[in-house]
Amino acid sequence: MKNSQNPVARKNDLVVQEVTDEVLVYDLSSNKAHCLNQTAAMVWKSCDGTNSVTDIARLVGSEAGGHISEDVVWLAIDQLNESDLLEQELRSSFAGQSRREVIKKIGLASMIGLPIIASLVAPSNVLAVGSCSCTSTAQCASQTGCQNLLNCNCAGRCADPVVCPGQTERPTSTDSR
Amino acid sequence: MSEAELVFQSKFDQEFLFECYGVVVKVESNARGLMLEIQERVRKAFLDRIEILESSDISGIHSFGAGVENGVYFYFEKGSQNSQTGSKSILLNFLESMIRLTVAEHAVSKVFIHAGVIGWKGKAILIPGNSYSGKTTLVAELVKNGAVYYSDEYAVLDEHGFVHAFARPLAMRGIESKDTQTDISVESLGGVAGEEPLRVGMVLITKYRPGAKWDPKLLNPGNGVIEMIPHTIPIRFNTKFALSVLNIVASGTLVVKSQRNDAKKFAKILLTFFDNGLNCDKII
Repeated sequence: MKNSQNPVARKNDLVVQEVTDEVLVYDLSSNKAHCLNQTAAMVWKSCDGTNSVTDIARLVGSEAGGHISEDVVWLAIDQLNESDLLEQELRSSFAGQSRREVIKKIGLASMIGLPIIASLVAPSNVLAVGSCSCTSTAQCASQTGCQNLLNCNCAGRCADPVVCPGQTERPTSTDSR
Repeated sequence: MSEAELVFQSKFDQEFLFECYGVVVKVESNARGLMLEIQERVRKAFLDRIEILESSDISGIHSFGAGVENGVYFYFEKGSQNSQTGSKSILLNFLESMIRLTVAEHAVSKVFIHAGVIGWKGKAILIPGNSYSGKTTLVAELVKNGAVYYSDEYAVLDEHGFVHAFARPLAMRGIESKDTQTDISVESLGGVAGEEPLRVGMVLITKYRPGAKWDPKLLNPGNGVIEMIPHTIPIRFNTKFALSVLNIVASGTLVVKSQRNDAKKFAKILLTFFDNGLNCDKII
């Protein structure tokens, strides 16, 4: 039976890919990509709203072939919260403790690898895959990947216009983004 | 009135409609000479792999415009004036870049990754990287060491994870000036361009740093995909397909990460590393 205190994995607006021993999750709403290691993936998959944290610890433990503590599950939930991969944010049980302290506490006692979620934001659009090292608007516009002829950043990206060395005012852009 | 506030008054009476990798692109202009230069640029950029279309009665067209008025060059996208410049070459460079990126993002059944690609012993080595990351310099050195040239700009991957040649002339910087790109043929480097699609043998995530030591770390497939995502052009437009292709590549090969030093020295190190079976003792 579903319980509002039980974690529920988010399903909407996600593209999920199983990779060897890992799960890749791409969040279409935020354009963030997450790589869940085996432990984090097992916890996430067990978050169906009917399993409590205790149940998830038992399920993941039996799948991994050993006992795991609830702290490991909470550590995963903590990261799933941060990555916005749960329907509802669950309050961590690590009141007053840093993640580092918790990892230290459970690290050696854990039978399985600690849950890890690596994340990144995909480039803001196709143009962000290019980059520049511009020092003037003209340079910015003359290379691939720059967003706008007048939109020069001079700090390695073309997306956010700023004043470049040698320019007296911020370049204007007709791009509304 | 400043240049930034000018409004293009003329009408476009020239049209160039073509299809490339399943993407239909229309370019309009008000000047025949400018249009001829654009056509030449586009043909060259896509190695003549374009099909000229007659009818513009096609849905899903990506439209661009390039106009000139009183010595000012105007750039249009999706029917709207976007920006302007006093330099024709800036306009042409920019327009060409935008068309290339549009085709790369919307290509049908292909995933374009911003990467240098070479063939070595029947396998492809992919080196993803942004502009100014030294891809072309490294690819050129690898070619000088006997590698087959596939691309200095895009790894074009099919649904099975095979990489297809996109062997345009290498765009080398630093010959005329730091920022100007000069086309260099692969033959002038003593190399040849590949033709057959290749399975990927290694993905190298690297950045040039003066004095850097080669310290290869093997990435597990998930982290390998994460490293490739920032260079994957259709990641937002065609997420599911792009991820599945990245997954095939990362799961079927090794993704290696390390900083690198000078391309000339590093090319030999890389090929030896590949020949020795990509031995890494560190996995991250």
